[in-house]
Amino acid sequence: MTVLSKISKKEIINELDNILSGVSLDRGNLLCVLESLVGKFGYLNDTMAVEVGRRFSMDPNEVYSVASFYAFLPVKKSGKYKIRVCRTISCKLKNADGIVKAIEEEIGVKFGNTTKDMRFTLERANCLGMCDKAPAMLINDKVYTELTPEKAKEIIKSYKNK
Amino acid sequence: MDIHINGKKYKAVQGETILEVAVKNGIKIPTLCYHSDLCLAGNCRICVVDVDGAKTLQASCTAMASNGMKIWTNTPKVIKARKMNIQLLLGSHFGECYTCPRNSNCELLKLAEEHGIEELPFPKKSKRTRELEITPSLTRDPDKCIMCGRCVRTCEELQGVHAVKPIGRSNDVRIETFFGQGLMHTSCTMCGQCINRCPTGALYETSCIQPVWDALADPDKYVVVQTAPAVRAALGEEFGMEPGTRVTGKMVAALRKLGFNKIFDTQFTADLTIIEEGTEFLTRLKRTLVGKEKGLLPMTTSCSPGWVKYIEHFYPDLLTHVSTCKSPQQMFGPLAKTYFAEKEGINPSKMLTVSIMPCVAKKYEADRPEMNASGYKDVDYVLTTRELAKMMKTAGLDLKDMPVEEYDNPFGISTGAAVIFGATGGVMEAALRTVYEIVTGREVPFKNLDITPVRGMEDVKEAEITIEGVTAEYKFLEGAKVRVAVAHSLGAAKKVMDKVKSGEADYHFIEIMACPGGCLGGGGQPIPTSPEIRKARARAIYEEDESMAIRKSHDNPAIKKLYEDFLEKPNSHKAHELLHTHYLKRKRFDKVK
Amino acid sequence: MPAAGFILEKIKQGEALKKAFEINRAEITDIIKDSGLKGRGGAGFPTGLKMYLCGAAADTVKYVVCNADEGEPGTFKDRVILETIPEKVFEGMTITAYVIGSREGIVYLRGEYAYLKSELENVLKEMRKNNMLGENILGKGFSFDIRIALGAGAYVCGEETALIESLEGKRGEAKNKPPFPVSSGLFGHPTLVSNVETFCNIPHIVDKGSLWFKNMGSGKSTGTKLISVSGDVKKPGVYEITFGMKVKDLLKLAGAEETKAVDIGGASGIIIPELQFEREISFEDIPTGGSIIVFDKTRKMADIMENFMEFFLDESCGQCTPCREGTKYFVDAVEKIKNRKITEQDLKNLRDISDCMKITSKCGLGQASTNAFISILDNFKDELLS
Repeated sequence: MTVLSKISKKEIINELDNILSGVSLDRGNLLCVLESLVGKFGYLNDTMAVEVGRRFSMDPNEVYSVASFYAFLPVKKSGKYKIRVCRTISCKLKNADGIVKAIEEEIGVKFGNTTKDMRFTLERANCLGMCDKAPAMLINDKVYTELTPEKAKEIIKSYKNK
Repeated sequence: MDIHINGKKYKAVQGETILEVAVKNGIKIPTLCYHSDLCLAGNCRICVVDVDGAKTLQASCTAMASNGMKIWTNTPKVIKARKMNIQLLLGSHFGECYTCPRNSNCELLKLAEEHGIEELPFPKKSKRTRELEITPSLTRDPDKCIMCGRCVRTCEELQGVHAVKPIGRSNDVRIETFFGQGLMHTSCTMCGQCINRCPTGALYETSCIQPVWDALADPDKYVVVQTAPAVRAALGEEFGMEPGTRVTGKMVAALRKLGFNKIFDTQFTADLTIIEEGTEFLTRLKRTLVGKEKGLLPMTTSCSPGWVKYIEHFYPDLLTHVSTCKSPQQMFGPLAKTYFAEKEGINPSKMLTVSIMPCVAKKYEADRPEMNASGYKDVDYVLTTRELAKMMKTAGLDLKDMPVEEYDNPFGISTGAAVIFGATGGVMEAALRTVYEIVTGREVPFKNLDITPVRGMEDVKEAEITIEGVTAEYKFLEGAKVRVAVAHSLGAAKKVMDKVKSGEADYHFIEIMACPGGCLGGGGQPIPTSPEIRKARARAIYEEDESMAIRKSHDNPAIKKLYEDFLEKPNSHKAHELLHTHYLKRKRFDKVK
Repeated sequence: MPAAGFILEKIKQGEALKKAFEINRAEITDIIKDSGLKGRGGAGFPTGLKMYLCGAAADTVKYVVCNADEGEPGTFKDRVILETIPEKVFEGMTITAYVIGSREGIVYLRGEYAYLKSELENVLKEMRKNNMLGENILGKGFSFDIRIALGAGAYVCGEETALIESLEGKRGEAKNKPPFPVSSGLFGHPTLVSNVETFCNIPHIVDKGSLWFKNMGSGKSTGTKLISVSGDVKKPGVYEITFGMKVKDLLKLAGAEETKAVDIGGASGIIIPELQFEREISFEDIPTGGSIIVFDKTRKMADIMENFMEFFLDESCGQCTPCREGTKYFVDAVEKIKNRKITEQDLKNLRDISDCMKITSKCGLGQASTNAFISILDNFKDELLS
């Protein structure tokens, strides 16, 4: 995955061909295809919705509507790495707010925002199911637990050159 | 099976919902997201009822009746819950009822009134949070939206257009266009069917009332008005009359009282459309059958601007199939500003043409940049049936009190064939009455000229007419079986056009109207709409046809004179200049790369 | 892992399945029915009855869906199951499929657990290799396979009809019931949806019989329950308890000290004060999908309220009026409570909204979303309103 501020139609089509090889075009596979696109590009845009709609014989607006329902299928520009800090109570009890603050310092943007270089988006997430190892966060698919502000900063640093 | 409602026993059939059983037996349960034209949603939770044995209240619109069920529709528990849901909706609804275009028939306001809501137990939304979206045809006010989803279901199920969808979730969920790009940049056809089904003022026509008042008050302006066929079969509803009441003459009188200089009838140009389109059809038939040209048949009608915009977006490669004839509204405009202006010695730059339409897409159509064949904007302002009613009310005119008056000449003369343009199948029937007679010299072989196979509310109707005993000029048609199809609603149009696209269809002529029931169910017609209301309006249309002295377009004397004096002959060069048009290949989403 | 019991223990793979193949289908349904096993996701629907209903539905296509959309705040026991003994879940699904006559199983794995997917797929691969899945399983003429579908961050998809919508590639909006999934579920076919933990019980019951199972627990709450314990405890983790255990005993196990309040059932559960720690975890007393969050005396109840209400403000699907519109007033109310600005009238109004949400919301999410608020209000009135 590369940091993309502009995504060309050609890239989208190539990627979609890639994703769809061996995948049947049943609507049941829609979410998984959208997840793959987000994995590649970081978010979904209008061109992707049109192209996905074409493949699945669905109205593109329906694709947009479905995606917009899910927290992990962003339909607005979003960074390459999505840092999702658990905001739910068990993590909150274990200083999740301190983690957020540390990350904000490290990446230089506030909660809910994306860094200028489109590398990081800092979001809140509801319970990550890591309450026994609180506080926790996800960076894309990877989970980090028993965080301290220092540990969180180190982890973010390791993503800066990825 | 038996079910009990409020302690009384009623018969129910397997598969019936509680609401259906209640309605059947005259028991009123208030509803909101429910609409008889649409699939069930069960979202608003207004129609909840108490069912013995159920922990929670049940949405009667979706809950199935089952044997022995005991239902209570008005217990204190039910009323309290229902009232709270109404209050919750009111709380998020940016209501300033006194300025709302729907304050006379807002379903939410009505529910509030019926449930005696005097105050809200929480602060009410007091500021706008979202912008109005204004297009030439319709205006969307997201702050008034209560998320019933009727517009979405209308656009999706009935029209297959998918212009608006629920986006996001939770309290942030909203009805939006594709990536928020706006109706004008996506494939909204401007049909306005969403308006007819919106329970509140979140959707309404973009009003032209004020400029029309200004024009009427301007002594320097000569203002002519045309009225579409379907308006006369529905306007009465705005004045408390039963659906299906014919009010033609009263409407004419009211328009005269409003101060229009001439009261004309779009039916005149409907008759003209039949002559032009019928001739075009015969030419296409000849070029196909004799000249072996491709892409000309089937020919589709072009009077419905919602349909035209739909095919431009959804089947741009099939545009050669669409008749080049302008719609009756747009034939009227240039004729008024050329032929009529010349005849009467009026400076066309001082003339304004207003049309009264059952439609909101007509507003968009009038605004299309190519619609200036007269050298001016051909049709200046389009008012919906609802807007006309509003103007009349402003002027203190009650339709019921109006005398019966006649249209002005020469554009006030029309035939029964033109009236039926207002109902699905009408254009086809009118065209067949004329074409058959042109080709054979005899009347179309249906009793009393009623071509019943193309009438009625089935979404796609098909018919076949064998042409026999042709005149010399049409020898190539001897024995030909002309196959026609009629579709109303864009969902039905899709069914037909997919067949055309795949080559599966062997039709010669297709009538398509964007709205269910045809123009009588148009997006500018009185609210509410339902299958029953549309049937009643259709009945009025066909009664009007029966009552007319002349029932075939080619027999309209004023049309004959128009050709003699001005247009020369059907499909002449002049006719092409003024009465025909071209179409645009449009993308589904013009902002998408 | 401070667990005692059987759920998280490895079993000899395929033993229960082999046994199941030797018993007829109706008999297995009866065993499960007789065991009293109820759904472990929280709703507690009798599993045997679900099997019976889905088995009786006439359709050639049926689905077995494992609900691994573990989103209830404070719950992580399904994650632990999937990390440690996924093959048991799959075996439970396979037995269920055999009973109801299904050929396809799907695990709906929440997006937050995406990192588990490849390992789960490896396990499935291994099982296929061992002929425990796929065509003609163990040579008994029965074919069944399982795939993993990923959710994408929506709590409501834990509700079975919303989950099915999501599997169909739609917005995860709950559907009106009936029809229930057992008669018309995924793509309109009969579908048995059960929780991860529920499926884990099935191989054991088939293997050891319903009597063995019934002997555990209390009253109508048979068997054991995995409880995820987190918050202010020394030993957070998953505990397998037998139904009927007192809250205070569980607190002791987990090393809770100076406990002020316990949340049972997550954001949609209830929060009880010390006075109620004698209560039991069971379907009869306090039922739970398995979340226990412990709060010590330093914690402010208003903060907890706020966190839970914000959770629902985020996670309501937004389609039905009470849930979409009601929740925000509770978030506002917490603010007022914190500022000492709440009035008696406000509280009365909130209770009215809550009552309405409980009885008119379309699905369990809205019906339960004010539980935490109301129970904190009832149980900690002095702290909140003084």
